[in-house]
Amino acid sequence: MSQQKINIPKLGIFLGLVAAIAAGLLSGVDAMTKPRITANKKAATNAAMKQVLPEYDNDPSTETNTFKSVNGWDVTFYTARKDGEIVGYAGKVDNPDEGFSGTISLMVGLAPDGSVGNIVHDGQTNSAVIVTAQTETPGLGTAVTDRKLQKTIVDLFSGGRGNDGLIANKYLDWYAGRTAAEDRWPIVKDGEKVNGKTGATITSAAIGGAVHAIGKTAIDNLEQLSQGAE
Amino acid sequence: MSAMKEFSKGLWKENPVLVLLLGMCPTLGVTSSATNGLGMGVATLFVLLGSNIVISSIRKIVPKKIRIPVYIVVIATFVTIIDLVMQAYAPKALYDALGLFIPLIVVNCIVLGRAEAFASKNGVGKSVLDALGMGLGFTLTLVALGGVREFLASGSLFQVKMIPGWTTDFMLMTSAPGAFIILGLFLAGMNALNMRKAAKEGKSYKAQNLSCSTCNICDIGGEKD
Repeated sequence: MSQQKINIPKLGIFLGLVAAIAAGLLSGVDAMTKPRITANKKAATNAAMKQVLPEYDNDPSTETNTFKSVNGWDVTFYTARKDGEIVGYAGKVDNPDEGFSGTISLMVGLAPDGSVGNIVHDGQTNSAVIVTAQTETPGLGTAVTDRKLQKTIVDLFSGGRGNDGLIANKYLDWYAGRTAAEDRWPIVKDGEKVNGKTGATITSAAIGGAVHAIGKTAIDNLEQLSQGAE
Repeated sequence: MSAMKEFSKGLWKENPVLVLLLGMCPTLGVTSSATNGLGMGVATLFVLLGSNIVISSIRKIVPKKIRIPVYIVVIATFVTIIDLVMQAYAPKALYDALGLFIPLIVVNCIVLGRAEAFASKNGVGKSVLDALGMGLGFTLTLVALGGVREFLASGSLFQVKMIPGWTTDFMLMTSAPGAFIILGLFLAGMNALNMRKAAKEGKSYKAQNLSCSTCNICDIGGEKD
Protein backbone atom coordinates (compact mmCIF):
# COMPACT_ATOMS: atom_id res chain seq x y z
CA MET A 1 0.00 0.00 0.00
CA SER A 2 1.39 3.33 -0.95
CA GLN A 3 1.66 5.92 1.77
CA GLN A 4 -0.37 8.86 0.52
CA LYS A 5 -0.93 12.17 2.20
CA ILE A 6 -4.52 12.51 3.30
CA ASN A 7 -5.87 15.95 3.92
CA ILE A 8 -8.42 15.02 6.55
CA PRO A 9 -9.81 18.53 7.29
CA LYS A 10 -10.43 19.17 3.61
CA LEU A 11 -12.22 15.86 3.17
CA GLY A 12 -14.25 16.42 6.30
CA ILE A 13 -15.33 19.86 5.17
CA PHE A 14 -16.32 18.54 1.74
CA LEU A 15 -18.37 15.73 3.22
CA GLY A 16 -19.98 18.13 5.68
CA LEU A 17 -20.85 20.45 2.81
CA VAL A 18 -22.48 17.63 0.83
CA ALA A 19 -24.46 16.57 3.90
CA ALA A 20 -25.52 20.18 4.56
CA ILE A 21 -26.77 20.60 0.98
CA ALA A 22 -28.66 17.33 1.25
CA ALA A 23 -30.20 18.33 4.58
CA GLY A 24 -31.23 21.72 3.23
CA LEU A 25 -32.80 20.13 0.17
CA LEU A 26 -34.69 17.62 2.27
CA SER A 27 -36.07 20.15 4.71
CA GLY A 28 -37.23 22.24 1.76
CA VAL A 29 -38.99 19.31 0.12
CA ASP A 30 -40.45 18.26 3.47
CA ALA A 31 -41.89 21.72 4.10
CA MET A 32 -43.27 21.80 0.55
CA THR A 33 -44.99 18.43 0.70
CA LYS A 34 -46.16 18.33 4.32
CA PRO A 35 -49.56 20.02 3.85
CA ARG A 36 -50.38 17.77 0.91
CA ILE A 37 -49.33 14.62 2.78
CA THR A 38 -51.46 15.56 5.80
CA ALA A 39 -54.43 16.24 3.52
CA ASN A 40 -53.92 12.89 1.75
CA LYS A 41 -53.82 11.03 5.06
CA LYS A 42 -57.04 12.72 6.14
CA ALA A 43 -58.67 11.81 2.83
CA ALA A 44 -57.61 8.19 3.32
CA THR A 45 -59.14 8.15 6.81
CA ASN A 46 -62.35 9.66 5.43
CA ALA A 47 -62.50 7.05 2.67
CA ALA A 48 -62.06 4.28 5.25
CA MET A 49 -64.84 5.77 7.39
CA LYS A 50 -67.18 5.83 4.40
CA GLN A 51 -66.67 2.09 4.10
CA VAL A 52 -67.34 1.10 7.71
CA LEU A 53 -70.11 3.52 8.70
CA PRO A 54 -73.76 3.71 7.68
CA GLU A 55 -74.81 6.82 5.78
CA TYR A 56 -73.96 10.04 7.62
CA ASP A 57 -74.12 13.75 6.86
CA ASN A 58 -71.64 15.32 9.31
CA ASP A 59 -67.84 15.36 9.11
CA PRO A 60 -66.80 12.68 11.62
CA SER A 61 -63.16 13.70 11.43
CA THR A 62 -64.04 16.90 13.30
CA GLU A 63 -65.80 15.02 16.09
CA THR A 64 -63.27 12.73 17.69
CA ASN A 65 -62.65 11.18 21.10
CA THR A 66 -59.47 9.37 22.05
CA PHE A 67 -59.39 6.86 24.90
CA LYS A 68 -56.78 4.45 26.17
CA SER A 69 -57.67 0.79 25.77
CA VAL A 70 -57.14 -1.67 28.63
CA ASN A 71 -53.75 -2.64 27.22
CA GLY A 72 -52.69 0.98 26.72
CA TRP A 73 -53.29 1.57 23.01
CA ASP A 74 -54.77 4.87 21.87
CA VAL A 75 -58.17 4.28 20.30
CA THR A 76 -59.63 7.17 18.34
CA PHE A 77 -63.36 7.32 17.79
CA TYR A 78 -65.03 9.35 15.07
CA THR A 79 -68.70 10.10 15.64
CA ALA A 80 -71.02 9.84 12.65
CA ARG A 81 -74.35 11.63 12.72
CA LYS A 82 -77.32 11.92 10.45
CA ASP A 83 -79.73 14.80 11.08
CA GLY A 84 -77.94 15.32 14.39
CA GLU A 85 -78.59 11.78 15.63
CA ILE A 86 -75.60 9.49 16.23
CA VAL A 87 -75.70 6.63 13.72
CA GLY A 88 -72.42 5.00 14.66
CA TYR A 89 -68.78 5.39 15.60
CA ALA A 90 -65.67 4.53 13.65
CA GLY A 91 -62.89 3.30 15.93
CA LYS A 92 -59.28 3.39 14.79
CA VAL A 93 -56.38 1.64 16.47
CA ASP A 94 -52.80 0.67 15.69
CA ASN A 95 -51.78 -2.71 17.02
CA PRO A 96 -48.00 -2.40 17.11
CA ASP A 97 -47.29 -5.42 19.32
CA GLU A 98 -49.02 -8.52 18.11
CA GLY A 99 -48.76 -8.74 14.33
CA PHE A 100 -46.38 -11.14 12.60
CA SER A 101 -44.36 -8.26 11.15
CA GLY A 102 -44.95 -4.67 12.09
CA THR A 103 -47.97 -2.64 13.01
CA ILE A 104 -51.48 -3.60 11.95
CA SER A 105 -53.92 -0.67 11.77
CA LEU A 106 -57.63 -1.28 11.90
CA MET A 107 -60.75 0.75 11.46
CA VAL A 108 -63.95 -0.71 12.85
CA GLY A 109 -67.43 0.71 12.42
CA LEU A 110 -69.54 0.40 15.58
CA ALA A 111 -73.28 0.63 16.05
CA PRO A 112 -74.43 3.26 18.57
CA ASP A 113 -74.65 0.51 21.23
CA GLY A 114 -70.96 -0.32 20.81
CA SER A 115 -71.31 -3.61 18.93
CA VAL A 116 -69.33 -4.24 15.74
CA GLY A 117 -71.33 -2.97 12.78
CA ASN A 118 -72.89 -4.87 9.90
CA ILE A 119 -72.63 -3.61 6.36
CA VAL A 120 -75.11 -5.19 3.98
CA HIS A 121 -73.85 -5.17 0.44
CA ASP A 122 -74.94 -7.24 -2.54
CA GLY A 123 -77.19 -9.28 -0.28
CA GLN A 124 -74.23 -10.27 1.90
CA THR A 125 -73.68 -9.15 5.45
CA ASN A 126 -70.11 -8.08 6.04
CA SER A 127 -68.61 -6.83 9.25
CA ALA A 128 -67.54 -3.21 9.39
CA VAL A 129 -63.93 -4.20 10.00
CA ILE A 130 -61.17 -3.12 7.65
CA VAL A 131 -57.42 -3.26 7.94
CA THR A 132 -56.01 0.09 6.84
CA ALA A 133 -52.30 -0.72 7.07
CA GLN A 134 -50.31 -3.94 7.53
CA THR A 135 -47.10 -5.62 6.45
CA GLU A 136 -48.05 -9.25 7.03
CA THR A 137 -46.79 -12.19 4.99
CA PRO A 138 -48.30 -12.08 1.48
CA GLY A 139 -50.63 -15.01 0.92
CA LEU A 140 -50.82 -16.11 4.55
CA GLY A 141 -51.32 -13.08 6.78
CA THR A 142 -52.86 -11.00 4.01
CA ALA A 143 -55.56 -13.63 3.48
CA VAL A 144 -56.85 -12.60 6.90
CA THR A 145 -56.34 -8.84 6.54
CA ASP A 146 -57.22 -8.02 2.94
CA ARG A 147 -60.63 -7.42 1.51
CA LYS A 148 -59.67 -7.92 -2.09
CA LEU A 149 -61.84 -8.78 -5.03
CA GLN A 150 -60.59 -11.95 -6.68
CA LYS A 151 -60.67 -11.35 -10.40
CA THR A 152 -60.40 -14.19 -12.84
CA ILE A 153 -59.52 -14.24 -16.51
CA VAL A 154 -63.20 -14.89 -17.24
CA ASP A 155 -64.14 -11.57 -15.60
CA LEU A 156 -61.63 -9.73 -17.77
CA PHE A 157 -63.34 -10.91 -20.94
CA SER A 158 -66.90 -10.55 -19.68
CA GLY A 159 -66.31 -6.97 -18.55
CA GLY A 160 -65.59 -7.77 -14.92
CA ARG A 161 -67.56 -7.38 -11.75
CA GLY A 162 -67.85 -3.94 -10.30
CA ASN A 163 -67.81 -3.66 -6.55
CA ASP A 164 -67.47 -0.45 -4.61
CA GLY A 165 -68.61 -1.71 -1.22
CA LEU A 166 -66.89 -3.95 1.28
CA ILE A 167 -65.60 -7.18 -0.18
CA ALA A 168 -66.26 -10.31 1.84
CA ASN A 169 -63.48 -11.78 3.96
CA LYS A 170 -64.73 -14.57 6.17
CA TYR A 171 -62.10 -14.02 8.84
CA LEU A 172 -62.94 -10.33 9.28
CA ASP A 173 -66.68 -10.88 8.80
CA TRP A 174 -66.75 -13.18 11.82
CA TYR A 175 -66.87 -10.09 14.05
CA ALA A 176 -70.11 -8.75 12.55
CA GLY A 177 -72.61 -7.76 15.20
CA ARG A 178 -70.53 -8.97 18.14
CA THR A 179 -70.21 -7.03 21.37
CA ALA A 180 -66.89 -7.08 23.17
CA ALA A 181 -66.97 -8.84 26.54
CA GLU A 182 -64.37 -8.59 29.29
CA ASP A 183 -62.03 -11.07 27.62
CA ARG A 184 -60.89 -11.31 24.06
CA TRP A 185 -62.59 -13.50 21.56
CA PRO A 186 -60.78 -16.82 21.25
CA ILE A 187 -59.89 -18.16 17.84
CA VAL A 188 -62.86 -20.38 17.11
CA LYS A 189 -64.48 -22.37 14.37
CA ASP A 190 -68.19 -23.00 14.52
CA GLY A 191 -69.35 -24.65 11.33
CA GLU A 192 -68.58 -22.40 8.37
CA LYS A 193 -67.67 -19.47 10.59
CA VAL A 194 -64.03 -19.01 11.55
CA ASN A 195 -61.98 -16.04 12.71
CA GLY A 196 -58.54 -17.59 12.37
CA LYS A 197 -56.58 -19.00 9.46
CA THR A 198 -54.28 -21.99 9.71
CA GLY A 199 -50.74 -20.77 9.15
CA ALA A 200 -51.67 -17.22 10.08
CA THR A 201 -52.62 -17.67 13.72
CA ILE A 202 -50.53 -14.72 14.87
CA THR A 203 -52.11 -12.35 12.36
CA SER A 204 -55.59 -13.65 13.22
CA ALA A 205 -54.98 -13.15 16.93
CA ALA A 206 -53.60 -9.65 16.36
CA ILE A 207 -56.73 -8.70 14.40
CA GLY A 208 -58.90 -10.16 17.16
CA GLY A 209 -56.96 -8.18 19.75
CA ALA A 210 -57.34 -4.92 17.83
CA VAL A 211 -61.08 -5.41 17.19
CA HIS A 212 -61.53 -6.26 20.85
CA ALA A 213 -59.57 -3.18 21.95
CA ILE A 214 -61.84 -0.95 19.86
CA GLY A 215 -65.07 -2.68 20.92
CA LYS A 216 -64.18 -2.88 24.61
CA THR A 217 -62.96 0.72 24.80
CA ALA A 218 -66.18 1.87 23.13
CA ILE A 219 -68.34 -0.02 25.65
CA ASP A 220 -66.31 1.28 28.58
CA ASN A 221 -66.69 4.86 27.41
CA LEU A 222 -70.08 4.67 25.75
CA GLU A 223 -71.61 7.32 27.96
CA GLN A 224 -68.97 9.86 27.09
CA LEU A 225 -69.06 8.88 23.42
CA SER A 226 -72.82 9.39 23.18
CA GLN A 227 -72.39 12.94 24.46
CA GLY A 228 -70.25 13.81 21.44
CA ALA A 229 -66.73 15.12 21.31
CA GLU A 230 -65.03 16.89 24.17
CA MET B 1 -19.34 1.85 -27.06
CA SER B 2 -22.27 3.23 -28.96
CA ALA B 3 -25.26 4.82 -27.27
CA MET B 4 -27.51 1.90 -28.14
CA LYS B 5 -25.10 -0.51 -26.52
CA GLU B 6 -24.94 1.52 -23.30
CA PHE B 7 -28.68 1.18 -23.07
CA SER B 8 -29.14 -2.41 -24.12
CA LYS B 9 -26.34 -3.94 -22.07
CA GLY B 10 -28.50 -3.75 -18.95
CA LEU B 11 -31.24 -5.77 -20.56
CA TRP B 12 -29.25 -8.92 -21.27
CA LYS B 13 -25.45 -8.85 -21.48
CA GLU B 14 -24.93 -7.13 -18.12
CA ASN B 15 -28.37 -7.70 -16.63
CA PRO B 16 -28.03 -6.47 -13.03
CA VAL B 17 -29.81 -9.45 -11.48
CA LEU B 18 -29.01 -12.37 -13.75
CA VAL B 19 -25.43 -11.51 -14.72
CA LEU B 20 -24.04 -9.05 -12.18
CA LEU B 21 -26.02 -10.70 -9.34
CA LEU B 22 -26.62 -7.34 -7.68
CA GLY B 23 -29.65 -6.39 -5.62
CA MET B 24 -30.43 -9.93 -4.50
CA CYS B 25 -32.28 -8.77 -1.37
CA PRO B 26 -35.09 -6.88 -3.13
CA THR B 27 -35.07 -9.48 -5.90
CA LEU B 28 -35.82 -12.34 -3.54
CA GLY B 29 -37.87 -10.35 -1.08
CA VAL B 30 -40.49 -8.54 -3.13
CA THR B 31 -41.10 -10.78 -6.13
CA SER B 32 -43.99 -12.70 -4.60
CA SER B 33 -46.21 -11.29 -7.34
CA ALA B 34 -45.78 -9.68 -10.74
CA THR B 35 -47.30 -6.43 -9.47
CA ASN B 36 -44.80 -6.17 -6.63
CA GLY B 37 -41.93 -6.85 -9.03
CA LEU B 38 -43.13 -4.11 -11.34
CA GLY B 39 -43.47 -1.67 -8.43
CA MET B 40 -39.99 -2.29 -7.08
CA GLY B 41 -38.49 -2.19 -10.58
CA VAL B 42 -40.07 1.13 -11.54
CA ALA B 43 -39.20 2.75 -8.20
CA THR B 44 -35.59 1.63 -8.57
CA LEU B 45 -35.48 2.87 -12.15
CA PHE B 46 -36.38 6.39 -11.01
CA VAL B 47 -33.84 6.47 -8.19
CA LEU B 48 -31.13 5.03 -10.44
CA LEU B 49 -31.82 7.65 -13.07
CA GLY B 50 -31.65 10.49 -10.54
CA SER B 51 -28.55 9.29 -8.75
CA ASN B 52 -26.69 8.57 -12.01
CA ILE B 53 -27.41 12.08 -13.29
CA VAL B 54 -26.29 13.80 -10.08
CA ILE B 55 -23.23 11.64 -9.53
CA SER B 56 -21.98 11.86 -13.10
CA SER B 57 -22.30 15.65 -12.99
CA ILE B 58 -20.38 16.04 -9.72
CA ARG B 59 -17.85 13.29 -10.46
CA LYS B 60 -14.98 15.71 -11.12
CA ILE B 61 -15.21 17.63 -7.86
CA VAL B 62 -15.69 14.73 -5.45
CA PRO B 63 -12.40 13.73 -3.74
CA LYS B 64 -11.71 10.10 -4.47
CA LYS B 65 -11.26 9.00 -0.88
CA ILE B 66 -14.69 10.04 0.29
CA ARG B 67 -16.65 9.33 -2.88
CA ILE B 68 -18.55 6.34 -1.42
CA PRO B 69 -20.03 8.29 1.53
CA VAL B 70 -20.85 11.16 -0.83
CA TYR B 71 -22.65 8.76 -3.20
CA ILE B 72 -24.61 7.25 -0.33
CA VAL B 73 -25.71 10.71 0.84
CA VAL B 74 -26.79 11.57 -2.73
CA ILE B 75 -28.73 8.31 -3.12
CA ALA B 76 -30.40 8.54 0.29
CA THR B 77 -31.40 12.14 -0.36
CA PHE B 78 -32.86 11.17 -3.71
CA VAL B 79 -34.84 8.28 -2.26
CA THR B 80 -36.29 10.47 0.50
CA ILE B 81 -37.27 13.20 -1.95
CA ILE B 82 -39.01 10.69 -4.21
CA ASP B 83 -40.78 9.18 -1.21
CA LEU B 84 -42.08 12.57 -0.01
CA VAL B 85 -43.06 13.82 -3.46
CA MET B 86 -44.89 10.59 -4.22
CA GLN B 87 -46.72 10.70 -0.91
CA ALA B 88 -47.88 14.20 -1.72
CA TYR B 89 -48.62 14.15 -5.43
CA ALA B 90 -48.82 10.59 -6.78
CA PRO B 91 -52.22 8.88 -7.02
CA LYS B 92 -52.99 7.01 -3.82
CA ALA B 93 -53.14 3.63 -5.52
CA LEU B 94 -49.65 4.12 -6.98
CA TYR B 95 -48.12 5.15 -3.67
CA ASP B 96 -49.84 2.28 -1.89
CA ALA B 97 -48.26 -0.11 -4.36
CA LEU B 98 -44.76 1.40 -4.44
CA GLY B 99 -44.51 3.09 -1.03
CA LEU B 100 -43.37 -0.01 0.76
CA PHE B 101 -40.36 -0.46 -1.51
CA ILE B 102 -39.04 3.05 -1.75
CA PRO B 103 -37.10 3.18 1.54
CA LEU B 104 -35.57 -0.19 0.63
CA ILE B 105 -33.92 1.27 -2.45
CA VAL B 106 -31.29 3.09 -0.39
CA VAL B 107 -29.70 -0.24 0.39
CA ASN B 108 -30.11 -1.64 -3.11
CA CYS B 109 -26.56 -2.19 -4.28
CA ILE B 110 -27.50 -1.82 -7.95
CA VAL B 111 -27.82 1.91 -7.38
CA LEU B 112 -24.50 2.30 -5.58
CA GLY B 113 -22.90 -0.20 -7.93
CA ARG B 114 -23.83 1.80 -11.05
CA ALA B 115 -22.81 5.04 -9.35
CA GLU B 116 -19.35 3.70 -8.58
CA ALA B 117 -18.74 1.53 -11.62
CA PHE B 118 -20.29 3.74 -14.28
CA ALA B 119 -21.58 7.20 -13.39
CA SER B 120 -18.36 8.21 -11.62
CA LYS B 121 -16.38 7.51 -14.82
CA ASN B 122 -18.72 8.66 -17.58
CA GLY B 123 -20.59 11.75 -18.69
CA VAL B 124 -24.20 12.62 -17.94
CA GLY B 125 -25.60 11.43 -21.28
CA LYS B 126 -24.03 7.99 -21.09
CA SER B 127 -25.00 7.67 -17.44
CA VAL B 128 -28.65 8.37 -18.27
CA LEU B 129 -28.62 5.60 -20.88
CA ASP B 130 -26.89 3.27 -18.45
CA ALA B 131 -29.48 4.00 -15.75
CA LEU B 132 -32.40 3.49 -18.13
CA GLY B 133 -31.00 0.19 -19.41
CA MET B 134 -30.07 -1.17 -16.01
CA GLY B 135 -33.37 -0.02 -14.48
CA LEU B 136 -35.37 -1.58 -17.28
CA GLY B 137 -33.37 -4.80 -17.10
CA PHE B 138 -33.99 -4.93 -13.36
CA THR B 139 -37.71 -4.25 -13.82
CA LEU B 140 -38.16 -6.89 -16.52
CA THR B 141 -36.31 -9.51 -14.48
CA LEU B 142 -38.36 -8.79 -11.37
CA VAL B 143 -41.63 -8.90 -13.31
CA ALA B 144 -40.66 -12.21 -14.91
CA LEU B 145 -39.60 -13.69 -11.58
CA GLY B 146 -42.69 -12.36 -9.81
CA GLY B 147 -44.93 -13.55 -12.61
CA VAL B 148 -43.57 -17.10 -12.51
CA ARG B 149 -43.83 -17.26 -8.73
CA GLU B 150 -47.33 -15.79 -8.64
CA PHE B 151 -48.54 -18.16 -11.35
CA LEU B 152 -47.09 -21.25 -9.69
CA ALA B 153 -48.41 -20.14 -6.30
CA SER B 154 -52.02 -19.37 -7.12
CA GLY B 155 -52.52 -19.57 -10.88
CA SER B 156 -52.84 -15.82 -11.24
CA LEU B 157 -50.90 -13.03 -12.93
CA PHE B 158 -51.04 -9.38 -11.83
CA GLN B 159 -53.69 -10.49 -9.30
CA VAL B 160 -55.94 -11.85 -12.05
CA LYS B 161 -56.74 -15.55 -11.81
CA MET B 162 -55.65 -17.19 -15.04
CA ILE B 163 -57.03 -20.58 -14.06
CA PRO B 164 -60.48 -20.23 -12.46
CA GLY B 165 -61.04 -22.73 -9.70
CA TRP B 166 -57.43 -22.82 -8.50
CA THR B 167 -58.20 -22.19 -4.85
CA THR B 168 -55.39 -23.66 -2.76
CA ASP B 169 -52.23 -21.60 -2.78
CA PHE B 170 -48.88 -23.31 -3.30
CA MET B 171 -47.26 -21.57 -0.36
CA LEU B 172 -43.66 -22.56 -1.15
CA MET B 173 -43.66 -20.21 -4.13
CA THR B 174 -44.81 -17.16 -2.18
CA SER B 175 -42.09 -17.54 0.44
CA ALA B 176 -38.32 -17.11 0.28
CA PRO B 177 -37.36 -20.70 -0.64
CA GLY B 178 -39.56 -20.45 -3.73
CA ALA B 179 -37.75 -17.26 -4.69
CA PHE B 180 -34.36 -19.01 -4.44
CA ILE B 181 -35.56 -21.99 -6.48
CA ILE B 182 -37.01 -19.89 -9.30
CA LEU B 183 -34.03 -17.52 -9.35
CA GLY B 184 -31.71 -20.53 -9.56
CA LEU B 185 -33.65 -21.87 -12.54
CA PHE B 186 -33.51 -18.42 -14.18
CA LEU B 187 -29.72 -18.26 -13.75
CA ALA B 188 -29.30 -21.79 -15.08
CA GLY B 189 -31.50 -20.96 -18.06
CA MET B 190 -29.49 -17.81 -18.77
CA ASN B 191 -26.23 -19.77 -18.68
CA ALA B 192 -27.69 -22.51 -20.89
CA LEU B 193 -28.76 -19.95 -23.50
CA ASN B 194 -25.36 -18.27 -23.47
CA MET B 195 -23.61 -21.63 -23.77
CA ARG B 196 -25.70 -22.61 -26.79
CA LYS B 197 -24.99 -19.29 -28.44
CA ALA B 198 -21.27 -19.67 -27.79
CA ALA B 199 -21.28 -23.25 -29.09
CA LYS B 200 -22.89 -22.10 -32.34
CA GLU B 201 -20.09 -19.59 -32.79
CA GLY B 202 -17.60 -22.35 -32.06
CA LYS B 203 -16.42 -20.84 -28.78
CA SER B 204 -16.68 -22.19 -25.27
CA TYR B 205 -18.74 -20.14 -22.84
CA LYS B 206 -17.35 -19.14 -19.51
CA ALA B 207 -19.56 -17.57 -16.88
CA GLN B 208 -18.49 -14.04 -16.10
CA ASN B 209 -15.79 -13.85 -13.49
CA LEU B 210 -17.30 -12.14 -10.46
CA SER B 211 -14.39 -12.64 -8.08
CA CYS B 212 -12.75 -9.76 -6.23
CA SER B 213 -9.93 -9.45 -8.71
CA THR B 214 -12.26 -8.12 -11.39
CA CYS B 215 -14.56 -6.11 -9.18
CA ASN B 216 -14.08 -2.38 -9.24
CA ILE B 217 -16.66 -1.49 -6.62
CA CYS B 218 -14.54 -1.53 -3.51
CA ASP B 219 -11.08 -0.35 -4.52
CA ILE B 220 -11.40 2.23 -1.78
CA GLY B 221 -8.51 4.64 -1.66
CA GLY B 222 -7.49 3.83 -5.20
CA GLU B 223 -4.78 1.32 -4.30
CA LYS B 224 -5.49 -0.70 -7.42
CA ASP B 225 -4.99 2.23 -9.82
